[in-house]
Amino acid sequence: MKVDTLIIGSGVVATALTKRLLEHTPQMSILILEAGHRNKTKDFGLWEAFQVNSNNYPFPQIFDLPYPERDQPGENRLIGEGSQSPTAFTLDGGRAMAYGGSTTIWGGWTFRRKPEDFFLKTLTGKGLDWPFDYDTLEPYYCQAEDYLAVSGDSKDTTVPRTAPYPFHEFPYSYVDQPVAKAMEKLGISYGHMPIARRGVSKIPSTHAPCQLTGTCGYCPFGARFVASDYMDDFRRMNDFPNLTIKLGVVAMTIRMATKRRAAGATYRETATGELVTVDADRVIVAAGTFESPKLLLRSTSKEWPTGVGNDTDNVGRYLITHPYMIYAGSLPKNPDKLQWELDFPTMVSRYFDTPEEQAKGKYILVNAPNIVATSVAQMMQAGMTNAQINSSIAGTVPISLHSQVEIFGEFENRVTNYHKLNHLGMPEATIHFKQDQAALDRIQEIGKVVKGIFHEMGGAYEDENPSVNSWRCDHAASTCRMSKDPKDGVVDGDLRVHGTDNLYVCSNAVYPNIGAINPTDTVTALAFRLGDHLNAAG
Amino acid sequence: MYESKARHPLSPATPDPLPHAVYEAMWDLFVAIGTLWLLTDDPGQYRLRFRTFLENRIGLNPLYAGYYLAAAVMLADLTKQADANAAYLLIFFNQNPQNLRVNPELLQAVQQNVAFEFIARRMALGSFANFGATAYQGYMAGANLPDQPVPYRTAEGLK
Repeated sequence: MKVDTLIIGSGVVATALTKRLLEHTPQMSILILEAGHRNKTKDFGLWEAFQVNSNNYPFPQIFDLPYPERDQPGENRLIGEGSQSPTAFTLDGGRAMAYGGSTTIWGGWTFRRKPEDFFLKTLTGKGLDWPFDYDTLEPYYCQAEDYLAVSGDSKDTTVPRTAPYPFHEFPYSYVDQPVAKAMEKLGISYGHMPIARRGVSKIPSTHAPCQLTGTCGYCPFGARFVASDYMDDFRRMNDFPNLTIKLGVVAMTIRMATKRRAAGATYRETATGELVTVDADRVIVAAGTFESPKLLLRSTSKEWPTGVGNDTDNVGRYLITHPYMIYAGSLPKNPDKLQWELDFPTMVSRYFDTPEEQAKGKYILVNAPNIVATSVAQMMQAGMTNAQINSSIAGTVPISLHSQVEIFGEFENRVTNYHKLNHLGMPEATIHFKQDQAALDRIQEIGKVVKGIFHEMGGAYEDENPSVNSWRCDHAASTCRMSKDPKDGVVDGDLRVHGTDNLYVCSNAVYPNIGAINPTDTVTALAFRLGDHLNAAG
Repeated sequence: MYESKARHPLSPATPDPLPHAVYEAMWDLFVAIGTLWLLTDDPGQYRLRFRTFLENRIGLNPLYAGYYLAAAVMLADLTKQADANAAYLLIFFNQNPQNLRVNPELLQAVQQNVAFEFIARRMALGSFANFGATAYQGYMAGANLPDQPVPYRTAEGLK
């Protein structure tokens, strides 16, 4: 088989890039390889099951298993100092291995990076600068927000923008009121959460708007962007005879014709074990922060003895993620019966996401919607009466603020291949990750800020240790980072692997740093930018 | 490309309807939630969606037809031993002052797969509003439309 473009991975990058390429050249032959399988989306029965089963996903097979333990085979391997910590870096539950990638399960927070995030090295001496600046990416952010169907506040000046969001912001919810008023007293600014929930506009769309079902993990309408839904609709509504998507196949190696030119890839059909060779004029690795570097590392040859693009030993290194904290407290009473009404936050503070905070680690504060974590149904199922439930809701109420903080890449923090195969037939990962003490100290500092906010709300603060301190892989990045100089990274500013002509990586893996915010808006912008680059290259 | 509706491979393409008596017993159980928790919303408005829920649960997992049948048999037996109210108190609250005889494992299965799911669905269909909220997990509150009332409680007096 021979194609013009081979894309490995079927997440948001693959869908956005395919759209850009085929709208330019409809006859282009594109093959997309995906190790995972299709999950049924927008199904009313599955949605009902999701709702009555405490929002448990109806497709658990898309997640990694936990690391192996004594009585549990598990998957993948975590090694190095701190690997036994209760807050150690984890893969399970953070990424989705499926058609549509992690957008199958994402929350849809769609922040833009700030201009200073592109100059971490220059401004702080840490990490690496991006090879281009915010203004270069800004038009693509606008396109990404259109594509992801973001509802946001177009008047928000936190980050410069040249076009409005496609849909207007969700107003602050009632549960935002006490937090916002406390922040106002403390001089902490806040704004509306930009969120990928489709609204209604004058532009016709085949996609349904959000109906605020409060079950965003499984939307019965597809109002939260899921890449596989958009790819399916894109194919259904157009005639692209040369677009092929193969599910249940694992890209094993990239084949190099010469040191500089990729010839294609070899993949394995997981159902049969058959190895298949595909030739391609160009290869785009869009397989996420873990699978992208693992594939490059597996692709050894005489010209690339330690893996494609790895002559400078940067592939798989500088692994970062966001520590995600839930700082918990309580209010003595809840006379307005504040409750969990939405399934996404409507308020965020980027007050600490500024150049002044950059050297210590920028962070955001998010007011979670689940102010009363136990639903009325759960109280009823526990046997509480009407009076007991009303008393419980109006009484002492748990509150929480969520936060995520930027950490900095370390050479030793790394992902590599492990010799076993996971439940989808993909090579497992070995993660070497040590938590930086400075980051742990920063988490404590943030706790003190949250304590002040809770105090201003008239509430109590549980502990300066956040009740949840997760170093899960949801926002992992940087394992194939961009660099101007090949000695510092894996890909150049066009996302082409250093030292090659036709091999690209497009994923969170290419971020030299991550900032304080979620990565998907940026990676979608990068996909559209890569599409323009490839279209221009012909 | 894929089935338009998720279905368990052992479920028939068109599920057999539940026997009328079983459906009516399940409906009575669903209605009893309102009585026991003093809910003021009319359950009649949920009747069609409740029936669809039962069909969808069976479609996804044919065991549910058995759960519903077992629940109906259990309700009939408990009602025969005492009355319907005593049966509901046992199933929803584990209260059994009349020492009704019941298989505890079967009771747990009926609670978990029938009664508790009915509670969750009933709340999501609209009964949650009895407890002061405007939107809820599983409730279709409506779209966020420009210049239209917001379908959830909003903050007031913010800068």
